[in-house]
Amino acid sequence: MNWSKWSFEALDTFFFRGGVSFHAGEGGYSSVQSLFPPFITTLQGAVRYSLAIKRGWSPEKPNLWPKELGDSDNLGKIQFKGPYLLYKNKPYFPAPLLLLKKGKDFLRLVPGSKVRCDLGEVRLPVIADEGGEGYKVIEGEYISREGLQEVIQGGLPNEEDILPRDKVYFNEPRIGLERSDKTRTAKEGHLYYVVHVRPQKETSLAIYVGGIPDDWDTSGIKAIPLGGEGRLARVEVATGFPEEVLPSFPKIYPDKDGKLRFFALLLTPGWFEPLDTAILQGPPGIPGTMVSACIGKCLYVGGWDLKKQEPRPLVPVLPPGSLWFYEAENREDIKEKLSKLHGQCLEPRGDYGFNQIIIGRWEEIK
Amino acid sequence: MKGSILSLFAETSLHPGVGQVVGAVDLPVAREKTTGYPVIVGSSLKGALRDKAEQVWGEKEEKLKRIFGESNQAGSLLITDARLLLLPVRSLPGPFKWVTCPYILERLKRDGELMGLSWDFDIPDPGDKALVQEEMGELFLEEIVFSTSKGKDLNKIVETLKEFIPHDSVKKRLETQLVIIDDKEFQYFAQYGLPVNARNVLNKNKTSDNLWYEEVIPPDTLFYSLIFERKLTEDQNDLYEVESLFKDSPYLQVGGNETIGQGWCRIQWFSGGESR
Repeated sequence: MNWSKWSFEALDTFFFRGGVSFHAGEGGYSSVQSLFPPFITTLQGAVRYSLAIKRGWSPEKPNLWPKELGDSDNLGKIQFKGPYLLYKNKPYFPAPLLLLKKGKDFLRLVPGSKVRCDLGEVRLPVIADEGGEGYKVIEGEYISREGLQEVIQGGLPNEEDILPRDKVYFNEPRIGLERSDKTRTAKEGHLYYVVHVRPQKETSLAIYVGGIPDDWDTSGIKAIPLGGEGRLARVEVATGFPEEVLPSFPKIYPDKDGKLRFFALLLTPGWFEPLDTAILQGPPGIPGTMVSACIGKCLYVGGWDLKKQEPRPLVPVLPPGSLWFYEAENREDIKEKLSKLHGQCLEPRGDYGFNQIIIGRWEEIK
Repeated sequence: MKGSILSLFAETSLHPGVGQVVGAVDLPVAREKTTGYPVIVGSSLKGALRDKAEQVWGEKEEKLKRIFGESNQAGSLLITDARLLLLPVRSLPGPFKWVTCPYILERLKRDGELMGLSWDFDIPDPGDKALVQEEMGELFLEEIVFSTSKGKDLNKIVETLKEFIPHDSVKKRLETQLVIIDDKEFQYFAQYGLPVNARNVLNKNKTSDNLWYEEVIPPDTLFYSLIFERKLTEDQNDLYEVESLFKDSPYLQVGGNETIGQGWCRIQWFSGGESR
């Protein structure tokens, strides 16, 4: 399949609304926060919209929508990978939830001894080394590809591998109002408060788009509307392959007791059905026995169906950075399967770029 | 998508507000969170353009909905925030200097490329000096003193910036009043160099009922915005329609305090190097 890399840079701010309603039955002043990075659902919509426009489609000529682009429920021949955050043109990923940080120091979580709780007899993540007082999970921060390579190999990143959120973007609160034509003052009940994100000047987003027919012209796509509030992105389309952004498959070798120990880490949001089964048993298709997991708080994917002119239903997904710990027999076929799983987007919604996992190594506490 | 650049030259003080905040200034102006530069946010600018269109075409004009949108349909016009280009800063040797910085020029150049305009100037590096057309020893901007240095090829920047300015007299003045300083130094003036007005309401005894402080962007500040047209129907030419709103009167009121004379900008459109 041919792939291209689409990079998006905010012309000023972005507004990617999550699942929170503007009017949740409250009166008066409420705010709606933007997500960042957005879900692939927003980015794929913008890409397919731009491609369709280039192929002569317009809202008043719906029959000219290219069949290669699918419809509101499927992607046709197109596939997506991402989104990936780029900072100074280098990829960064949501920090794995097994990492703990205190100042410049890091620790890892590994499955602990069995305990009895409301889920039955389970192994909960514990700190792998001595100490750990004052350490916190690095939730919401980003890790460089080099740092992530260290982590999936069983090591720890350096401080410079971690990119704090305020280097990537700032929240920018904005007040909007409708003005009454008669009184020239704010219309009663039409004052709203939204929080946009303003990416730093060296922040951009990248996705990889596969399956665009070779004879389609993508030149001239320079600025496209992206997300809510009519915000615009500068777009750059270049050749590129999704593998170039990922850390390479780590060396997987057996622990002292002869077992293979590895984890499956989500790089993009996890859209699994049913979600609770995936949380408790791990994503489908991964060999071995799932022994423990570090799962973040659910996010909600919604969006607007342009064709049906209605909001899409909200679906809970697992945040990237979530991971499951596994144990398996030391067999070549398992190692081979793991190397094939590294970087794959699992079903369902794998063609949208959801459920992309990479494999990492962990060791039992000696 | 078709696009044009809209330049806004402040003829009066502007107050694109952010509402009330807790701080020394009760009503500050909107700022970009990453840079601290004053900004006229896209929704405010779009509202101002819609208001102008309603005045010129009438409120019932059908194309208003197509161009500016309605509650269940986005409009065809896509408007970026109006970005700061030149900020007037008080100076001892003259009434003021128009100050800008490398980041603003870099952003302008990239925006130009996006709109198919190629401006032939290099981004200067002022270091700790103030770059000027003619060296003048020391230069006071507000309370800060800079040593000056003659900027290399500054005339190319001056010529580019002149394209954004509608008045010939102002263009001429720019030749001697342009100053380029480091991004960080500029940020200081953008954050703390704007005028703050004290306002109050007098009661019938002619004493103050309340007192509030309001920040404004000074007259002669220059902004620009990128405006794109999304094609919704085959025969639309909405960018042209919006441009033609200003044929008789090239003025637009943006932001708050309209009734006390604030927010008036002289506007100018251009694309492909052609000013209109």
